[in-house]
Amino acid sequence: MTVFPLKFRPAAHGQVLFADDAGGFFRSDEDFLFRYAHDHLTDNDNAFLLRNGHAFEEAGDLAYAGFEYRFASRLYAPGPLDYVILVPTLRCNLACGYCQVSRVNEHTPGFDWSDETLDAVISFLGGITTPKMKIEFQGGEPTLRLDILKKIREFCRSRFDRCEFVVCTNLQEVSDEVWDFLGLPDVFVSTSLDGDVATHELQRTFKSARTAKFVENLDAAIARLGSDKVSALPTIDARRPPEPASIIDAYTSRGMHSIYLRPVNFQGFARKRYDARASASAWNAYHTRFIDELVEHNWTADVPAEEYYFVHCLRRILRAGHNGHVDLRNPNIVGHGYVVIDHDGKIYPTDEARMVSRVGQFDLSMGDVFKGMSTATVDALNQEASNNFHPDCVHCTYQAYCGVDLVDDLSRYGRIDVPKHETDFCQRHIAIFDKIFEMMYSDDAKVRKSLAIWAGVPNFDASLARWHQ
Amino acid sequence: MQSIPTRLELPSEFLAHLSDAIVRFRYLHPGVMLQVEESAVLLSSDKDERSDRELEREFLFCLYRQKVYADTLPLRSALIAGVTGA
Repeated sequence: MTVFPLKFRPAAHGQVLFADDAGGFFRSDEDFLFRYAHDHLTDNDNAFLLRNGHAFEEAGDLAYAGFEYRFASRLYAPGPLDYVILVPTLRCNLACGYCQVSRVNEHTPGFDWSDETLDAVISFLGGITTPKMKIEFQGGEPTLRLDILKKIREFCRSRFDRCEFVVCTNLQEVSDEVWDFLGLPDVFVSTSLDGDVATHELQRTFKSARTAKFVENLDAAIARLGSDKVSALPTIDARRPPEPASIIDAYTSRGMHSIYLRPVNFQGFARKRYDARASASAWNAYHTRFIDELVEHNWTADVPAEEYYFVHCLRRILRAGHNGHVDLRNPNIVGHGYVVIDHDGKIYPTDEARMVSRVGQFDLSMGDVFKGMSTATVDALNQEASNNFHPDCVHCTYQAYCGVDLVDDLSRYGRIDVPKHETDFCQRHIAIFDKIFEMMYSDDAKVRKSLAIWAGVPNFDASLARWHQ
Repeated sequence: MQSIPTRLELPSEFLAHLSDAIVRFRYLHPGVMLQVEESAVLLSSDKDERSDRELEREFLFCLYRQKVYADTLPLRSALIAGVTGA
């Protein structure tokens, strides 16, 4: 019998977590680790490992093939291009202190698509052969160019079988015409609500009248469009975050039960005002406090709530193929399944790559809509997009659930070969996975209730988190 | 003040992986002094707050990981080739 490679990590109370490349995991103790490392496994050990898919008798047998299937299912394979982020303008009517997307003042000329750019974008979209398309309008404030949004939607509806449009808007000024557009059946709204109203004002609107206007528009959007068509994200400054309970209340009281906490992003102009590079530990402490507060909330709430990214990571542990978040994939191949088209027609593999390029750090553009895509730079980046043989990740228990984010590394450190354990990406994900495994092996009824809700199962059965004694 | 080194005897079957483990341990824990004496390592630190026992365990785990990695590399390569068709 041969054991598939096991990676291990000390856990609480002298226990040790073991995991393999296919994402199988169990907890045992240091005695088992000793036996495993010294090639002294007992019959009981071997039986457990074989029974639970951690070992095989000979290459090609059912256990081996099953492991390979699970391993392959963990790997991300980009699909055809069917998701395009469009930035028709960089102009914005807010000036948030940590703006992540390189905005300019509302009245600054020269930062909108020209007619030629619009024509070229439409021509680019016309060359995509997939039957479905998701368009996300970003900015700046995209509703400042509602005329462009309408033309793009009209074209896409004539070109693709199925379309979905997401407008990322600050909901600060919403004209009747914009309301009409947002109310269309294939249009969705994504906005920002930075926790409680006071924090939102501190970080975004700065004046109470503007804050009141935003809150009025947000509540009107939910009332008019329905909470299923409106999503909001809080951007959190880990140095002075709002109380978790206040965020949960601000969202759930508006019928929004999936909350995606985002730390202030180091990319874009945020770097000028915030030391986000060294904030991983503060963020991790806050994030775990938020999860604990959610657990308390869910214990008695009629409608439970979740933290989107935490649940995403939980599901990546429990199931393969959970690749819906572009920042957490392995390999994280960029520039294929989706692209970003900037205000000047340049094409980028990700929105973060656009920011990195905008601040002059690296040019990660992939050509433009006038001359076509050029993937040489991104192809070079993609050669490092896997964590399977990374010298740090090969020893990490969480490798199968984790991913890489090379653009994030480039943005923060100007290179992609910084020791993983020193990167913000690694520190944040180690903390999240530690927290998830701590919860999965917890006997606390409150914890198990939330885990079941987040995992989408009636009960979080103990067999989901196995032990080997 | 320099702390007194803690001595960790190594099983003979792990000595083949010692040099790789030392490289990796120093990379992960640059503040820890490490010396090799035949089949043992001496660990000390005046910067690291971990106890002798924790330092020993860290090094031992590092050694275990290197051995597991080396022993299973052909299998891992075969598995990767199998799932990627490479």
